[in-house]
Amino acid sequence: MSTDTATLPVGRYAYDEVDRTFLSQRVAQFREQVGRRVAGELTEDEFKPLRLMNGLYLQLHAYMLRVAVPYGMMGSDQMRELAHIARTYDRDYGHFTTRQNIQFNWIRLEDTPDILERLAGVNMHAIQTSGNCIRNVTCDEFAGAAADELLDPRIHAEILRQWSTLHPEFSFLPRKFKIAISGSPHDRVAARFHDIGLVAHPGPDGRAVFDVFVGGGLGRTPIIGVKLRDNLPEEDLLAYLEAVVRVYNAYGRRDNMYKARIKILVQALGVDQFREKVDAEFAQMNRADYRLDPAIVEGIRARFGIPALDAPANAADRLDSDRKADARFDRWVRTNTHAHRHEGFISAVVSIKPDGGIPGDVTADQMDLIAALADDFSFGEIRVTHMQNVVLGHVRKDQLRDLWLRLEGAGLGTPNIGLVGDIIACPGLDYCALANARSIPIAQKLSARFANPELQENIGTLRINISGCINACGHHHAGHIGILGVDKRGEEFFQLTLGGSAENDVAIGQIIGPALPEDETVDAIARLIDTYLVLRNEGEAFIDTYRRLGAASFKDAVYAPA
Amino acid sequence: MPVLQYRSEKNGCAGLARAPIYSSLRQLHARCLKGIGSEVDVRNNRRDMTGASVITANRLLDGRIVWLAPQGWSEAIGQARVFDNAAVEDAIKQAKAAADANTVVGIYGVQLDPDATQITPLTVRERIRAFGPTVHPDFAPVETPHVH
Ligand code: SF4
Repeated sequence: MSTDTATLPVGRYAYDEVDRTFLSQRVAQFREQVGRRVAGELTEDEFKPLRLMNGLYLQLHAYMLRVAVPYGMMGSDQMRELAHIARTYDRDYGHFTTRQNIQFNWIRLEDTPDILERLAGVNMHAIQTSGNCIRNVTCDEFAGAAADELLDPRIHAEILRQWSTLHPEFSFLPRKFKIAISGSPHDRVAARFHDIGLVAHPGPDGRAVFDVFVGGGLGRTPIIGVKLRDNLPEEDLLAYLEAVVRVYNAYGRRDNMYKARIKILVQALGVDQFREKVDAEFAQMNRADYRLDPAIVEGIRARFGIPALDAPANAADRLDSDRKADARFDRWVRTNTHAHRHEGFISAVVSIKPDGGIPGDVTADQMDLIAALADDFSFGEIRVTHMQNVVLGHVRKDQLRDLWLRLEGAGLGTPNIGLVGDIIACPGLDYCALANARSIPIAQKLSARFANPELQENIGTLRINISGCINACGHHHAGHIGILGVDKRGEEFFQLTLGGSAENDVAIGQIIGPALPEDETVDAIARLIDTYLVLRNEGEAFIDTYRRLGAASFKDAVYAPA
Repeated sequence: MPVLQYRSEKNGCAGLARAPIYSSLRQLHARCLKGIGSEVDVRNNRRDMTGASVITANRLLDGRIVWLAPQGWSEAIGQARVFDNAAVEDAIKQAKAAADANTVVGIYGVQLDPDATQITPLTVRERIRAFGPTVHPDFAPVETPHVH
């Protein structure tokens, strides 16, 4: 497929010399730091923050390298490089995370400078994937494609990336800081579960304005973010965010890491007082210095490639007839696609949740295949979703079946997006040094048990989220059914929460009762789902029935004697 | 301060060190870094008064899990030296002070299951460390006598 601007990567920002120089300096710096560590010139305590600033964690079995995928967007060239890294330096696979990043689980410290150099060769890095800084900004996986979108948020996501990268004031915040941005009225980024959530829409003069949410988050203390202000003008975006983060940096707690996130500060001060402090900081800033001039925005926008959305006039008809001719394809289209702003195109979601598989794990061969499919069907553009899946954003409707056939052939055609099988699970105790319990085996057992696609469609929309500890990387509080691993004297138990949601109907899941032993958890969830099927009214999803009837109706099912 | 300071000439890795605000932040450094990336939880180094333990760490160069054996560190828990819990604290101290301590990171003790016939950690976490991720039996450490 051709593009309007052949030299610019579609859907993401094209690095220039400044970006490339910065990355190569950074790799050289880390190479030297690794050398000093290996030579014994740096202690582990001195070295640890340096490696973490380059995305290198020490996990349960080995080092883990978390590579940033800024706002979830990457190109086929980058995916191929990730495949190469998986094959050469890891055990042939990678893991997509809920922050739209990718992790490699078996990395050697001594290989890391070479890996970072290879990544820099395709304009990738591992910066802002760890540490108490502003982390990689997340974004709507259907950005620039969705029919319901008001404004493409990726331009401002890139501006935030450049603003926050190595920001000298914000490199040592009280805790990590996460920003999400959406340009659609339908919240697909969990804006109110972020330190700052931005919802962009066009203002009266056509330039972007932002609704700003602050102080949301999951983890030990789940809190829904509050609206800090409406209609923030684009030109004040950086000044205002700078003011918010400054207030947090000044007043956030550093004495207790469990109380250090901005959500605790907003709760402690109350939103009105927090807003007063932000407004006072904002008022005393030299706004001219921070003004985000439309020329800067347009300069960044000009470095994004735009897809040439030409489809034959009969593309939609062709898709209709393809669907009528093949019931399995029709089902996949129902579950795994999203409406595109152009009538001849559609967005396809590639499920990285095969029946009984490990959510988010993708082999090197699959990465290469996804890269090839992106080249053949979607302008070389790939999106990683916070649900740990992959999106090809701009697929011609008349070519969708060809895409599906190739996905099917590679075991990537599972029709389960948004259904029981589309489970979000953190790495848990199989990999994570902080875990209490294993997340992945529970996800595998549930997805195998509910593998039947008719059953899944009959059950309908159901979000299951699993975290291996209270850090909540699996966003369990935001799941319709949330599962949290807890440790009881070295053995695994699982606590269920019900009724959470990260979307427009945002809610925090509530604990239903005592934690269950590992071998009873999957059965209990199966009984819970059976109960919903009995109790639901026509057209109700699980979350609707739960909200109508409350937890009591489900409690007996969970704790029924085996 | 330019609006996108990332693009300013002052920036970049060398430039950052010159930024005036950074020097004052350096004083906060030690305090601020306390909460970053806690990777070894104290819970993992707890044990009963009685019973036996082995000593573990991760190898510096490749991060792989190793166990303190009679001669050096081994990848196989079966090779590990077993300590009485009364003696393990001293043994951990000695391991941390030993000449090869800089080749490993995060030395701590692991309580063993008294009912197991082979050397087996008591907790699920340490069993997963010893025998590999349960979701990938193919990645289990090979129990060869690889002592170094
Ligand atoms: S939730 Fe806990 S177990 Fe899961 S990845 Fe995060 S820190 Fe690890």
